[in-house]
Formats: sequence, C-alpha cells, structure tokens
Amino acid sequence: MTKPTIPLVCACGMLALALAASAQPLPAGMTVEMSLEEALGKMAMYQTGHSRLPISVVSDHIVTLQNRRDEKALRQFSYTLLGYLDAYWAGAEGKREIIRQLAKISGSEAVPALAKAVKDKDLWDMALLALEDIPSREADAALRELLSTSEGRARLGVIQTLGLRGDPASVGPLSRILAGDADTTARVTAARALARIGGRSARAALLDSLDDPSDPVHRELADAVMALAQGMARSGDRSGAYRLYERLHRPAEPTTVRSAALLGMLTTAGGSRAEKLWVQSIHGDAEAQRIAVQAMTALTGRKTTAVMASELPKLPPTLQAYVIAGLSARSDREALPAVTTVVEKGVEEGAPRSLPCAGRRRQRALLVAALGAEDKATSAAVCASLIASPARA
Amino acid sequence: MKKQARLSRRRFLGDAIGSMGAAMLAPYVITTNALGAAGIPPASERIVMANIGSGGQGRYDTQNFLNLPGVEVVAVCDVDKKMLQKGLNLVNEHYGNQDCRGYSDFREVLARSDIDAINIGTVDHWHVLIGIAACRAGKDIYCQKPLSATIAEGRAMVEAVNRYRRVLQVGTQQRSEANFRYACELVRNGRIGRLTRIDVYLPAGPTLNKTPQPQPVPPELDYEMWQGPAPAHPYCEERVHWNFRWIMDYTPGMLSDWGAHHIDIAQWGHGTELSGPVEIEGTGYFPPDSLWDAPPTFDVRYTYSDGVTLRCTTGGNPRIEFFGTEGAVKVARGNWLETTPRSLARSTIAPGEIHLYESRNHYADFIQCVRSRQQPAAPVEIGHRSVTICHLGLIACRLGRKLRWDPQREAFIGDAEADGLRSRPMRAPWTL
Repeated sequence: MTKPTIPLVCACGMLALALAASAQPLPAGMTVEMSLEEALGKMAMYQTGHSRLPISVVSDHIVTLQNRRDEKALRQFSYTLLGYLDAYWAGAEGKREIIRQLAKISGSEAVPALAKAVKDKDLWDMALLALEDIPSREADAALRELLSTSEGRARLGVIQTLGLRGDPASVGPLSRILAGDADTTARVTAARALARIGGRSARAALLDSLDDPSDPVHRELADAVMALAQGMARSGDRSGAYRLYERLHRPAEPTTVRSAALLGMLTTAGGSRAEKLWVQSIHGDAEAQRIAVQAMTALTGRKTTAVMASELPKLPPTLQAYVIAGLSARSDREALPAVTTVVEKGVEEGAPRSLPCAGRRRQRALLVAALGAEDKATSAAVCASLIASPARA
Repeated sequence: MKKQARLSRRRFLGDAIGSMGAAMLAPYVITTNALGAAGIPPASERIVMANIGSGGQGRYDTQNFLNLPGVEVVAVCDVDKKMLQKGLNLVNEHYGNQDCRGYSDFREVLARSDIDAINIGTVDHWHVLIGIAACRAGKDIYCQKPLSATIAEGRAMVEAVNRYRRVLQVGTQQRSEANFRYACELVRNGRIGRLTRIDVYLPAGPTLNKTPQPQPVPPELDYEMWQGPAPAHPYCEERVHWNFRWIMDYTPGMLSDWGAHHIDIAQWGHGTELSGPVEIEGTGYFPPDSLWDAPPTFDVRYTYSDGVTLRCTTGGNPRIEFFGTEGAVKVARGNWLETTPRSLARSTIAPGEIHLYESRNHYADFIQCVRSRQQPAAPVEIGHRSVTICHLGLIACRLGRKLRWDPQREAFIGDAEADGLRSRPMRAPWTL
C-alpha cells in the first residue's frame, strides 16, 4: 500500500481511504452494533464519562486482525489511527486512547507523530509507552533527539525508554547525565538505563559514578552497578561481573550492598578462587559467614564440597550446624564423613534438618542414636528434623 | 509491523529470567540469633515494622502483626490522609500512645534505619515498585496478593529479593491453613492416584453498568501518587480504593484477586510451584462499555507438561477440586474438605511421606522467618509463579487464542503479541 501523507491536510479523505482498505467485520460475539468507522470517530473524541464502547470496538478489531496474522491490514490500520491522532477535532483523552491502540501495532511509520506527542503535556507518557516497543532505528534516533528537547517527567521517561530499548548509541548522552545533571532523579534514571544497555562504555560511566560515597544517590547508583553485574553474569561474562561485585564490596559501601556483592563474588568467582573466597568468608565476620552459608548450594562440584567439609572442624559449634545443613543440601557423598562425625559427637539444634540427603540407612542410625541421647532438647530436635525433613522437599 | 523483534520491557524480562540461578537456589538456613549479625535484631528482640497502604486490607494485616509478640509497628503510610489516620488510630490505640508516625510517601518510610520489615497493603500496581525499593533499603516484606500486576513485575521482584537476600512472604494466607495443606498433602502423596485434573472455581467479579463522569479529587488524596506508574486518568471514586481491582490498568481483576489464592493452592497440590503450564486457552467477558473493564467472568484452561489440566472458571462456591485416577479432593475456605472416597479425609500422612511446609499463622511465620532468615510459607518465587498463571489466563482471554508457554524462560512460544503483554509500561519517573 502506498504510504499516506501524514499529517494530512484533509483528515476525512485519509480516513475514508484507510477505512476502505482496513475495515473488517466486528469480532464474533459482539452484542452491540457499532461500525468501526463510527467507533474510531467517537474514540478520538472520548472523554471520561463517555461510553467506552468505541474503544472496545477498536480494540477488538485489532485482536481480530492479529489473530488473522494479517500484517497488511494491521499496517493499514496503524495509518488509520495516525490519521485520527492528527485530526483537529480529536481531544486529549481521545488521543491517549488512540496512542494506546497504536502501541499494539505500530511501526516506524508512527515515530514522527509519537515523538511530537512526547512534547505534549497531555500525551507524553502514552507516547513514550508506544515508542518503547517500536523496533526501528528511527525510534532510537527520535528518542535521543528528545533527550535534549524534552523537560521534566517527559525527559525522565525518555531516559528510561532509551534504557529499556537498549540503545547503545545513547550511552554517551546518558553518561553525561549520570555524571553531571542537576536533577538527581535524572542521574539515577540514567544509571539504571546504562545498566540495562551494558557494554564497556556504560560500565565505565557507572563505575566512575561510584567514586563519591557521599553522593546523595550513591546507594541507587550502586544498585545500578549491581544490576549490570547480574546482567553480565547472565550473559556469561562471569569474570567481568566478579570485578564489578568486587568493586561494590569495598568497606565504604552500605552493608546491604556489600552483602549482595559478596554473594555475587562467591557465585561468579569460579573454581579455586570461589573455594578460597568461601573459606575466607566462613571464617570472617557474622555477615560474611551468613553469605558463605547461603552460597553453599550455589557453588557446585565435589572438590568444593570437600573443601567446605574440611573447614567444618575449625568452626564454632553453632556455625557448624549451619554448614552441616549446607553440606547435606549439596547431596555430595564427600560431605558424609565430616557430617556424620560431627553429628555423632553432638550437634546444635537445627543442624540435622537436611541430613536425610546423606542416605536413608545413616538417617535411621542417627535417629536411633538421637533417641537415646542424654540431651533431650537436642534429641527432640534431631528426631523432629529427621522425621519431618522430607516435608521440605 | 512489529512481529519479530519486540524490544525493551520484553527483552528486559527475558534477560531477567536467566538470573534465577544461584541466589534463588541458596537456602536461607542461618539464623540471625545464632550469629548476631548487625542490622537485624536477634530472636529475643522486637521486629520493627511499618505498614504501607492503610486501606481495609492493610489495616487488617497490621492488626494481625500487632497481635504478635515481639513485633512493634512504628509507622503507617498512605496517600489518602483519611486512610492514614485510620491506620494511625489502629496502632496508637493498640499501644495506648501517640508514638506511631504517619507518612504519605513510602520512600520516607524506607529511609528509616530502625525499620526491619514492611507490610505492603497498597493497590496492586504499587506492590512491586515499593517491594523493590524495600529490598534496596534492606527491609523484609510482607506483601499482599497478588504479588504483581504483570509477569515482568513479578520477575523483577524475585530478582530484587534474591539480590538483597530479603525475606518476602506473599499474603496468600491459605498456605497457613491446615485444610489446604492437608488437601495438598493428600494429592502429593498419591491418595487420589495419579493427578489428572484440577478445577478452580472463583467468584464472579462485580460489574459497573456506567462510565462515571470525572469528579474533583478529594483533598485528602494524593491522586497523582496513587496513580503512580499506571496510566493517568481523571479522578472518579469508582476508580480508587477497593474499586481499582476491577480495572485492567491496575490489575487483572477477579482472575488475580481470588485466583492468586486458589491457583496457588492448585500449584501447591500439583507440585508445580516453581513452574507452570505449557498451554493456555480461555474466554472471558470484557464489559465493552464500563470503567470496570477486567473480565468479571471467565473460563480458562491450562495444560501442564505432565498432561494435567487446570481449569479456572467463575461460578459456585470458591474452591479447588483435585481429580485423580483413584479419587478426588475438594477444598475451600471455612475448613471445608471433601474427598472421594470419603475415608480419604481420615488418612494419615506417614512420617516417610511428603509433608508440606507447615505454618499455622501466616503473619507469625513471616516474623519467624525474618528472624531465622529461612524461606517463609509463601516465598517470592512461589508467589510470582502462582500469580503468573493468573496473568497468563488474562492474556489468553484478551488475545482469544491458544497460547504456548515456556515456564522455564517465562516466555510465550512463537507469539510476539502475547509476549508484549507480559509487561506493562510505567509512567516516568517510576520504573522497575
């Protein structure tokens, strides 16, 4: 189909053209009669309190076209909606509803009209929502242009939309906002956008932003770096992620950040480095110990199990209990001798919770032993845990 | 047309799924009491809480926390001053003082270093944003159901909880009711033979046969903050407070309002709490001329990879019915349980069989887990998976076609339009 000229000098002529091309029967089951043309016109003039039937008719029409996989008709209908969006008689609420429908189907043909709408105080949010999903370079370019021409919440929306789209070309301008914008919300939004986009330049900009711990939004910036590290680990760049976590584990960072970073370090270090870090952590302060225990099921491998088990005798009894539970949860037989030895010597409450993983025969023996134990509190805890453990399967 | 390369929120969701690995699998086994970690009170000390969202449900939950020993509620937050005052009165009357502080912005609550945990009782479209902010601030979370307003939101919530190692309990309190647990144990232990079918009956949603005129925003309500990330609309009272739950700009309607409870039990009994169906098809009635546009009635059929079907429909008493090759188990609120054969209801679950997580008080279980750092009865991943099934049902009804779903990737198979509905745009400055 030949692309209509937009904006149209004569909206009515365009509408007639588009409707002739795209009008389809209403969906089956529609109980109220209203033509698509009538619905479009009324939707463009929609205000809160008016009937919502026209919107339902248009929405159902789109579903019908989508279920037919009728690409041509959908594209034509996108032009139809753009025509109504440009109609001089369309109201603000009506235009918002039109854009909501456009968001479902539009492509690059809608970018100029939507970019214009971003500057409209009544339409900016809907327009950004529609631009967010349009898979075209025109949309990226329009959004970058809007970075310097939009204001207030619309500008924040542009920043986050660029991040959601993952536009690498916007890393430069977003980095400048992160580094020196007067609006701290814009800086945080830019940091999150850069974390989503990723890449070397975005990473460098985010790390630079962490240099000042007294920055009022430092915690939010650290969170963005954490998100970037998670993304890198997911995509296979574990060593890169480890370096970011390591940076976030500095003493100047808040405890919540440091704890999350240590967990990240443990799960991305790999091999002997992970084992060494785990040993260091299990002998560290209370918070490091907690993280080390939590990481026990994330660090895989029998050799790692053996390393963990070898530390067991060196730990204080209470911590032993939790490491035993962690070892048992790993289901590696390498842990069995150490676990059995410690349990038979006497354990703290809670330790045997996952002992059944070590084997049914041993479980029964421990149960018998626990039943005969002199320490009745421990005995009861052991029995209860051994009996009830399958419940947590 | 944009068929092949959907971008942004969709991509973000896809990326996020891959991170479910290590942290999610790690057990929360170490107690604060044992190690005396900084920042979290030992078991012998109080848990300091704040209530964010002080409408009827938020106050109900707050009352339940007030009833627990070792819990102190020190702050209430609501964007509606009338609701805020009701919440403050509840707490202050309980303690016989005026010490509880009121807030209209949740960010000020989260900035308080003395608060250990929050209770989120806001409108659904705020649950995840507040929850993620709470994770960043190092708070534990009791979050009302449904956990999320979209699948993408739910996954982001899981990510944040795992990243910051927080304890989150979803307010699906049926997990702490004995008859639901027992029904699921009967099913999980094969008392009805091989499970073949689950039927879930939900109440029909209310209808509103009008499209209200705009009204002046009441002076006590910060309506802009109430709308938050949702699309902006002129105010009318049929939109806010209790009524939001019937409007799709905020939530899927009855499908998630009650579905979050009963589908959760269906998942529990089926043993698919960390997974989901592979096919979904359904129909729903979408009121064509009403502000309340979420489907009040629907009939959705889900199929799992093991061939079990889950039908979720409206009508009759709300309940869950499990059917197997050798019997049936039906369960509902009010301690109602019916089995076929009837003798099944007297069956004992032996020590070596599957015993599901036992919690007798959903609120106490949360507080206990805040202390122990263990997973509670309704942890975030399970809550997310349950409400995801509600979202899938709505998407299938909206699109009117059979959908194929990959629960591992949390993505539809070969359906870009459906994938687009896994997420919902947010108004700046709010973003996941």
